[in-house]
Amino acid sequence: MKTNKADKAGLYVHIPFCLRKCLYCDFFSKSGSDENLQKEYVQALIREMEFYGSRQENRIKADTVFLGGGTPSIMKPALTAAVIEALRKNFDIDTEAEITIECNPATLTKEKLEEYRKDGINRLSIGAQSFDDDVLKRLGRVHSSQDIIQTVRMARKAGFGNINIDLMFAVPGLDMNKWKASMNKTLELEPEHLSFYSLEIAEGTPFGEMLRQGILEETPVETDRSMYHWAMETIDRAGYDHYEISNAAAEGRKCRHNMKYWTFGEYMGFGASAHSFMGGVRYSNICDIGRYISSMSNQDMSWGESFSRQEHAAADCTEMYHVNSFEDSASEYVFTALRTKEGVILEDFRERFGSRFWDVYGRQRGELESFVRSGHVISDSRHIALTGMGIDISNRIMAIFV
Amino acid sequence: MSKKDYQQYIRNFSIIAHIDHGKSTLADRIIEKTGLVESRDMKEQFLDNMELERERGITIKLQTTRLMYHSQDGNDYIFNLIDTPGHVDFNYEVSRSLAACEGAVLVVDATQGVEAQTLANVYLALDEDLEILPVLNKIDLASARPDETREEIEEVIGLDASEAPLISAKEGIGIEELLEDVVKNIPAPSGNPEGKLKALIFDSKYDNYKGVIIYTRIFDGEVTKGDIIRLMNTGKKYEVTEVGICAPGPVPTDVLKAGEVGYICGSIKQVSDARVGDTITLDRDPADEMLPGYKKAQSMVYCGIYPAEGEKYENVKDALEKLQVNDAAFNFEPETSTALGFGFRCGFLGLLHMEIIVERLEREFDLAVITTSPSVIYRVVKTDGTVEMIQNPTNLPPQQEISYIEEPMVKADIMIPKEYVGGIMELCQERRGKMIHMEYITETRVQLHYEMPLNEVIYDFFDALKSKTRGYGSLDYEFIRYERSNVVKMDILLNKELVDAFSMIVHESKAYARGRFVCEKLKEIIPMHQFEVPIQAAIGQKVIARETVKAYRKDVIAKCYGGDISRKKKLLEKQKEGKKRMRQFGTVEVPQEAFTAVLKYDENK
Repeated sequence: MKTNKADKAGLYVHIPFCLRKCLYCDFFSKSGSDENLQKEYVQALIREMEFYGSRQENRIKADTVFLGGGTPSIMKPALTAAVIEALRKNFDIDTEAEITIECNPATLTKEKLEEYRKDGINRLSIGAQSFDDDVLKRLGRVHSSQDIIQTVRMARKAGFGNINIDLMFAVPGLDMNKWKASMNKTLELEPEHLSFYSLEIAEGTPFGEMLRQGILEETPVETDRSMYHWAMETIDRAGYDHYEISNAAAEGRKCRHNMKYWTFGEYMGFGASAHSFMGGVRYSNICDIGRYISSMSNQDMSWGESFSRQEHAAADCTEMYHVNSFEDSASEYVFTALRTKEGVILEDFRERFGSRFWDVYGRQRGELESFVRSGHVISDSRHIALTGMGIDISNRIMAIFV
Repeated sequence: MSKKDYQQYIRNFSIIAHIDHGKSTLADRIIEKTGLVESRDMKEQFLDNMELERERGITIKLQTTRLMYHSQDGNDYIFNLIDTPGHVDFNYEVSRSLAACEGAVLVVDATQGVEAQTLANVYLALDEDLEILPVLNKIDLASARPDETREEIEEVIGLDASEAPLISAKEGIGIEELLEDVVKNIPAPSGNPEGKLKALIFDSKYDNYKGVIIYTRIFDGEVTKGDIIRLMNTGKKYEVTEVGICAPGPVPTDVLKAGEVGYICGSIKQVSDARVGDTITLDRDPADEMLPGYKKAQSMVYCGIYPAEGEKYENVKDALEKLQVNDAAFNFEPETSTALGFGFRCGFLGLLHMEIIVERLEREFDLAVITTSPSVIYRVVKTDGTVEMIQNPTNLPPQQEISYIEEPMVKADIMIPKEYVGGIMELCQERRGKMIHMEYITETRVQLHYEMPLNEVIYDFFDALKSKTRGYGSLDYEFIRYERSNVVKMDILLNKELVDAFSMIVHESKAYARGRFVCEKLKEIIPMHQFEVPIQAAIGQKVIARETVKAYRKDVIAKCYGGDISRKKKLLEKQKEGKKRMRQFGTVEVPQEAFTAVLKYDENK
């Protein structure tokens, strides 16, 4: 297996701070705005970047940067600038790189946006979730629908020409009409990119607990799917390319960073809970801000030289470290690719893995064919991809290949 | 001491009891008292040595042990305590162990009184002309009513219980007195040590090193290592490689003589070659006649056993063979099912026996198996006058070739406290039972005699009886005859395709309810597919019940970014793992547990 050497890596920075944690969120983040903690955290981030970037020859080349969270926009602009600067210092970042920051409509100001522009951030991902204030409230969001519109306007004025809007459906209080209204309002704002997620209620979240206690009702599957299929048709009509299960983009505006996750690209994550995939190794950092910070102040981190070094597995900040086998890689390649519209491109598979797809998965062919016959999968000599119906039950299809 | 004298210091006896009346606990106490095992080394219920037996609180496999007892008369006695299995499925085995004894200690729970199985066991013991020593157990409990129980024993069984020791096996009360009674009242063996060898096989088990170990009671003559023995029923001959006594582990000795109980090894490959009840004699000087009472193992209940994973066929076969070498009452032969592939049709003494075998396959051999609906043997009389015995519903001839079908009937003796009579009569009627007789054994206890189709007994009759009588009901049954009956074959179709493994033979009057039940159960268990799955129960072409499993609509993960990939992969792996436990029937996937679930027929549902 090889990751295409001409491909450049994506750099992800996790900012685990939020004003307040949303009721459904199961990402790793911490509520409140303790500025000292943020400062310390950013220092630790910079150290982590330095460890990896310390060797001058062989600097890692990157063409995307993604500041995600949490709510990265909660930080003072100076801290954001310091993060971006450290990335540039330690990695070879393309001049044309896509640099995204996730933000919450309530946290943005004109000044912040201008600072982001100065830092070279060229893409905003706005967590709108809904344009219905009642729904926003029930989700535990800290902003209103008006805030979203304001934010987009402000961003345009600041010169952002690449904006993503996140929406959620199948959430409590959202009926089909409200969903349509939310989507239409989103389209009116003419974002270059939009993501639309079906709510997943995870254990350990307040929603999860409410569901267990019976205070929260899950949206019926039928409603969920009609919302999804309606959205698919609507964004298609609006001229967007529905290029991944939950993502659509205007021409040339696919999220290049996220595409790395679905095309078996390399990425390196910094910060607590951040995941990386480099040199065929998947590893991640601990989900604990305090321990992450203290592990980064440890001077002894010689593992920065190479990703596959076993020391990395034992490092204080490491939570998971897994050297992919051929089977791991092939199956990850397949199930992530199946999330995209293009699906698995057989020729690309062969180039990466040195074997033909059906030589590796010959025994699964019959099972896949049954999904082709039932209209869930398209399979031809070029590629294998899910149909709209196939997306609904994609796990079952992907499970064939793990 | 003359050659014959040694026998007067031997006592061969069993303990018989209704289930839970404390047989195993008493055995433990006796073993403890005679000093075979130190009290602190005792596993609870020493003789129940299979894990499964201890869990279920029943004895399946016999265990026999030789004890030394120093009596108050100043002599040392050899006690051979021969355990008996404690379930109605194993009546024949019980009768053969009893045949190896001169007496039996009858344990009656003084809080419960005489139960159906107490009676059944007593009759078995009387058939063997045994001296019966009644004892009243659990007298330490406040609810003990020894006088009433004594009366019951006298009235119902007709035994003099006035001298019956009052004991508590649990508390160790009265054990000494009981042992003295054994010495005094149970006759010593009186075989002829000089006669031709005549020995009874009352149990056998397979040992990896020694081959089959035969447990035997020598009636006449003697046997030593190197003798060529002949098993009179099978005619097979073996050279004796070892003889010994059970302590309870095997302890080799030079010789086993008339009156003694011990074991014989002879490189015998499987226990069915040394069937319980057979007579051992010497090949060079055979006995003139064999001991009475030998019966070939008769399977009453059949079911299919299939490997859950097809590639484990050979492993299942090996395991069944191993179980068979140890269990002469269990038999199997290969069969094929369109739905389940290659497997085995297995015969059992009863449903408990079947459950035990399946559980042992899973526990001792770590094999996952699928069992099909248990079936009795139907006698099918065809239009051309020929008769076929059918134990697999799939093999039932086409309707037009059948003149009529007969099903096995049993005589069921049920003993219950009188307040449950109504409920149990209803249950029996519901199970197509015909009441033959009802009697008040005492003021509060009633015995019901029914004739019932075995088919109705094997499902869960015993469980239903227990639950409707809060555990006080007891059951004993035996086969009486075949009787013409209106039974039909009910098939189950999944997505319009017949799944033979679900086919069952049911009485016409029950078919609708049962069909509905199976369809509902399967609907609960079969996961959603990418298409609708109709589930139908049908008799011939006629659909009598129908359910539908809806097609699934959503199984998708909305977000899959950098940190989600490893997690998501695990999820998909789990999903795939779940799929492995499914059986593919045509286009439909059915979880393994579906087969057991449809057997658990809950009529209250």
